[in-house]
Amino acid sequence: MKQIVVFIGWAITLPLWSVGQSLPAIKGTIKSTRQEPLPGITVKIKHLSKGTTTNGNGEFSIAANSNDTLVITGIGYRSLQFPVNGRNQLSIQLTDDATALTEVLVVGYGTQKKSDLTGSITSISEEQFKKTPVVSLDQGLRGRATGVQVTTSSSQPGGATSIRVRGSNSVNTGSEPLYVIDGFPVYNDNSGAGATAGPKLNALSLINPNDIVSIEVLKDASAAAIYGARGANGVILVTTKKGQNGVTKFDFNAYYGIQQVAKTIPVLNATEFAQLVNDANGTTVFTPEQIAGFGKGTDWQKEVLRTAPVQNYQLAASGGDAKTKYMVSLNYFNQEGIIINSDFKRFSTRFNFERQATDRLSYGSNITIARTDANQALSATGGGEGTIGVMASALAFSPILPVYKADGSYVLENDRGIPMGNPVATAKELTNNSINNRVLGNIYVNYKIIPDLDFRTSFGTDIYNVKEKYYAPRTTLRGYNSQGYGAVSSANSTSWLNENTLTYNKKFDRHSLTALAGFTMQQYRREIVTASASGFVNDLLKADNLASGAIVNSPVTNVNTWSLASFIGRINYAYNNKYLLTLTARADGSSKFGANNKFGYFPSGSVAWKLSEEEWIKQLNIFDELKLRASYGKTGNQEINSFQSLAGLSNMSYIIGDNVVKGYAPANIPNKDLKWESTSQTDIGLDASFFRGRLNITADAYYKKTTDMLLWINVPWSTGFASALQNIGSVENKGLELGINAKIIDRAFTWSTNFNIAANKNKVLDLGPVQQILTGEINGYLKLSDPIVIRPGEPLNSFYGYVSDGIFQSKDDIAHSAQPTAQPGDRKYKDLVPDGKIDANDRKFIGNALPKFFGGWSHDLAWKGFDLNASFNWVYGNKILNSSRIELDLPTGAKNSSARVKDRWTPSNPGNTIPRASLNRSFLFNDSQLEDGSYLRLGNLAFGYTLPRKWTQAAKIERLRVYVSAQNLFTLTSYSGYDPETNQAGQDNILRGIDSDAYPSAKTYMVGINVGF
Amino acid sequence: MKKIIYPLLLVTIMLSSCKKFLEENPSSIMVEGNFYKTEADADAAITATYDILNNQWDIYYRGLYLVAELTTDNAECGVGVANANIFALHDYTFGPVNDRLYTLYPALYKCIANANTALDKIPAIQFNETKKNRLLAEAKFVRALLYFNLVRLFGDVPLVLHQTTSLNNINTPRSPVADVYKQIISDLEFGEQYLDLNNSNANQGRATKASASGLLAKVYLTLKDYTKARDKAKAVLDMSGYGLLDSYFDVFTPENRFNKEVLFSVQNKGNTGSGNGFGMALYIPRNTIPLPGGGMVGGNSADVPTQEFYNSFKPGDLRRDRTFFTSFDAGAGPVTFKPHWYKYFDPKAINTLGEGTLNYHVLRYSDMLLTYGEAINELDGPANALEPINKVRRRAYGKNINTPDPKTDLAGLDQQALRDAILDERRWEFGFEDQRWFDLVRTNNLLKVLQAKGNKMIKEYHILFPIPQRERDINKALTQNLGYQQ
Repeated sequence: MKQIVVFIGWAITLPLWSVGQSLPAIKGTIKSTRQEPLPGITVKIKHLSKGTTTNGNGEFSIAANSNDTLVITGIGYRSLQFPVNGRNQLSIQLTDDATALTEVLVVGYGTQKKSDLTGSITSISEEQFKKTPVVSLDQGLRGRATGVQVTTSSSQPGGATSIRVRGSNSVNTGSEPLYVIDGFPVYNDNSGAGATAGPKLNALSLINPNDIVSIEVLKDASAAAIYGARGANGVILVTTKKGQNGVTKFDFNAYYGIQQVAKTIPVLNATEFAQLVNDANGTTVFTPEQIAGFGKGTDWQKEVLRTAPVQNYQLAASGGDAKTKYMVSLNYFNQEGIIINSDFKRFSTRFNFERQATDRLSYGSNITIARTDANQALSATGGGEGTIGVMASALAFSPILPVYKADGSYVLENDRGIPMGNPVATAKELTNNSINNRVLGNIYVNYKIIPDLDFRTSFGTDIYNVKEKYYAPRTTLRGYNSQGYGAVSSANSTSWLNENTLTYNKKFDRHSLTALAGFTMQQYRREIVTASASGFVNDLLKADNLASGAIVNSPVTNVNTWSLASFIGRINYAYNNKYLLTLTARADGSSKFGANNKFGYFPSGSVAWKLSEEEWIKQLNIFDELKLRASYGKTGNQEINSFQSLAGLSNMSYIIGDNVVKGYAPANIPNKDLKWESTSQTDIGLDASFFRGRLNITADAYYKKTTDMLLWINVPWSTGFASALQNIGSVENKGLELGINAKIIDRAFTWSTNFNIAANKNKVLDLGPVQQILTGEINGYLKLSDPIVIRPGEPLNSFYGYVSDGIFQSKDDIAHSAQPTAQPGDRKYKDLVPDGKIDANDRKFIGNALPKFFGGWSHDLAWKGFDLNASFNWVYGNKILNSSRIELDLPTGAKNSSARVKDRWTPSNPGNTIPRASLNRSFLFNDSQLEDGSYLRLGNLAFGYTLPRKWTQAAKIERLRVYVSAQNLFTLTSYSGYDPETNQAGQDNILRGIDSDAYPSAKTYMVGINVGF
Repeated sequence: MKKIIYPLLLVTIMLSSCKKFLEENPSSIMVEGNFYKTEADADAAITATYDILNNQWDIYYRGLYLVAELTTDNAECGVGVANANIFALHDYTFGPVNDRLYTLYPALYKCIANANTALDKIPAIQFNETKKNRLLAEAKFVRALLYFNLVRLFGDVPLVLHQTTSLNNINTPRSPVADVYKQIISDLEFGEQYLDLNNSNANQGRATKASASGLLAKVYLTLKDYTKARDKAKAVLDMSGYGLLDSYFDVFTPENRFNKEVLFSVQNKGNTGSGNGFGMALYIPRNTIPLPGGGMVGGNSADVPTQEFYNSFKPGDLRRDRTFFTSFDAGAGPVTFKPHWYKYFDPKAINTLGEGTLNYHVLRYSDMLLTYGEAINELDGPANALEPINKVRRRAYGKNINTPDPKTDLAGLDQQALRDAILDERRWEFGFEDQRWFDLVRTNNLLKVLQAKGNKMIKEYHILFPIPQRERDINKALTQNLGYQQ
């Protein structure tokens, strides 16, 4: 206790100390074990907060007493306590910090040493993150974070992803993780403003990934409970770069690449198509002479695809002194898409600033301003006339038709029956543009009330404006049918946040305690305005003068608001640095919920035991670190639209007295008891480190159960409604995760590797009163209804359909079957309920869109200045419903088909895969239409060379690295579509693993340069 | 200590405002709590009740067209049809899973639910009792009209008569046909009592006494209660303000959409920006009619009549060239094509086919004449039944309606022959008005007529459509109609 009193007394008089005494300057140089000078290393005097950092030559100068001890810390190096011992010229050597467990990680509302963690957190450092160039930070998680599955909603430039941390917890509620960017929570809402067609852009693409220094994924309840009602889907903490004390650093990074389609899909050429048309019609539509003249016809994929450049430039400056640190950056990114006329550009700036005003008071801010401008190719459409995407129509358009007529105008539409617009016209002539501006920033103040007690308050705001513009001129089928159709929309959203926390830190004897208490408020408001018109005199003004349309549709305005008020608390306690305890709780009040259920409470607790601190383990001399963790807690999910608990009315209109009159009718069945979903999770984990930190293993096993799901339960249509939102049912996820990183060789030549694998098993436990949830029609064109059925006992995303039994070969075959009206060459289905007919009862679960396991494996090799990175990621054991293939495999001759259709059944070619040619489009969804979605992908291969410093020093360049790299170089998969990673329905929980009209993914080859000076 | 107080004070202030902070304040959404208070709110509830009737793809015209025209000898699938479920309806290969039934059935119930809401909420609103009763009668009329469609298409159906305000007791079982009709009759009798005889200009489009009595006549005819059918039809024929137009063609012209022949018609108006235009694209020729500015009229040729129906019209019957067209000049020269529907055609909307200004007639005066004639034929034989039918025929052949014309008039038919003649007459009179399947079923002719015209798939049980499978999956109390997968 005496010590404490002395300590407090000393701390209070600290300001006097720092200004009142003049001390001798001690100089020194800090080098690595390889004798390289180390810049940016912090040098402090023990027990004092003041310090300095080394300059570019690893030199420092600090005023210190001859009996002081210097504390030397630097990211990536082991901290060192270095007694001055009366010297005034010091030479200090730092050893690499091979033990990842000494890292300091960002946790919600604070930081913690990795070795003190009791919860499950995966951290990705800038080093790992920057290996693969990405447009947005979510893409950088792919294959790197154990248990985090990243799928692509669209491969278009700026396209969105969907992320699942330890599986989907819900059926209807948003299950994307919560992103916390420099302390500001953001749900990745990609809904856009509404005017553009096709998949939405990634709202996170406005956060420049080049500015990020680390990403932490909070996975278990102990880690995520501090985010309460938004923590159930996992939390991704994003920290951007800060300035370093002492040195001014400039970093310039640039790359330029070219992209090519990774794969094309073989379809029939004009000659083969003409034969199919004849076969399907059973008559001679095209004479042999005509067919002979067709040749190969138009290769529509070639017509709409191109080789496209991508480029990125980033200039950042950072630096500061003992009291002020800053980082500013400027980024320009420009990616043209591999579909003609699609692109994505980003301009962004960031300013991070921190000032230690006095020993007690510090303040700072993190601000980013970004703008993106994207032209989107129409894709990922669910079908429907006039709205078919570029790739879907490029695959299915008649190859007999040319792109242009003899007079130079576009061929308008497919002429073989199935209506669809000319894909080149759709790609080139459609305006489908989205401009996004985002300002995300916060300012904060830290005040040390007493030495162990810090008060922090912050105020932040996220202003996000989306402006979308769409115009279909009459050269496109959509515009042709309506004499030009234009729409503009804008969505302006503002979210503000105020957080106030008190943190108490205390170490005494063998006890170490950190306690946090706080209150936060966040409010969100979004306003959407949409206007549209059609029937234009000509297409010159596009969507810029909607009033000139003959039909000006009613404008749409919409306001969405929600607010959240929360209390947070956390205690971290350690005894003897061996036994660790964390207790966390958050009380979240959310406006989204019913009057009877505004506040939700989310507690969690976790314990850890550092076995490696026990003598008997130390004696084994095997482990550098060995820690067992266990946690249990509750988190929530509130990602539903606002106002759902109320009895809303929808706006109606009718004509009475020859005039438009407006009316209102109920929009939903109200629910005053509506509340958050709650997920309870148990996690048991192990962290182990061997061989002086060269081998690190983290393993986790978890069980999550979500109850009170926010579920849209189908209700009988006779109520006047299709479904109602209720807290019903439960889902479980259980899984295993293993992460290994190892420095296999650590000499002049280094080889380190990162491996992770995760298996998650999902099961729907209960859906309350309903036996099953049907997904309805998912493709307006194929009329594919209910391919996924949700039923207790089965995983979410289970495909449900008939079982194919090959093709009928003969009349005799048919006579003994359950399909007496079939013809030879028709598909045969298994009569699972043997009643002599094929009906809905003959369906069963035929596959699942969820992978059995997935993960990543990356290798880093370095020798002298050379470095090589290879990053793989894989998914195994999932099925994909490739609705594009279903369409292309229909041998109707009403549109083009895949090359497989050449092998269709004919009396002389009795096969068992593709049925006979026929005009009939009807089919029963069956297992032969599902594909294995497993893949192994070399996501990144990069080879770089860092020039020796002695060569570049003359030009004041600290570091100069040049590299070549390739993304998506190869993918081992049996999947026949463009990309097995696709997930057309994006963030949707139910319709996962569906590929329809996907924007093809690209292979990218690039050259780049990193310069630091 | 002061330093701790400030932040604590801040927190306290925030706490006190917390409750208000978390209240939902939907500024762009109307909620029930502050609605259904005024006369204007009551009017709005009735507007909402009518609204879904003119959702063309759902109910009038196309929702019903696909089950009442396409399923008969009147129509077939044109080149614009890609949906296998639509082919299945035409071919009689449909089952309980069919996206068109999945569209029609919920739309009918949604519209009924809006009527039920109006009927539940309006009585408590304070305003003029006469008007209040009229509004209630309008809601009841719409409800009766839709239940009449439901009961004819699906037989026993859930009879829901109140707004659904909670999730309790929502699995309503099917009510017997007789009970459904009882409710329809009761609703329409309320309508006869409280609806206006004629609509003022400002009220054009609302249900009237003639709508209620006229529909009641059809209900009784369907129930084979010929006495009441006759009496109700007669009552309408005698109402002032209603009658036959001299020209059949004019009944359907856009300019003439409010005419004395209309007993009830679904209202559409183009170019209002409110989505209330009549959509013509699906039955206008595809890629055929050139436009003066270049390009073609953007029709779809999905819903097309059979050649047999076109050919069935007798020479001199002017109805043929109102029901169909085979050539057109949009200003860039005439073109000819196979017969397409023409009865609902707004030339002003030729560039914007979704924006026709056309009212879709649900109940016409000529229907009352034919109903009256049919009821008399059933009760007393042909003698007195001929005149009302001949009135319809004379108008169809361009003759004076009230002057007997031996060349046009039916004569000398026995009761059965007149039955057949009436069925034919109704086909010619009401082509493209979503009546054919109902007439064939009502007169027990569906199987006979379609088989004679080559349909091999149709079975006895096709006189009812299947209850949608989706509905049965959710509501276990629902049974399935005979013949369909149970």
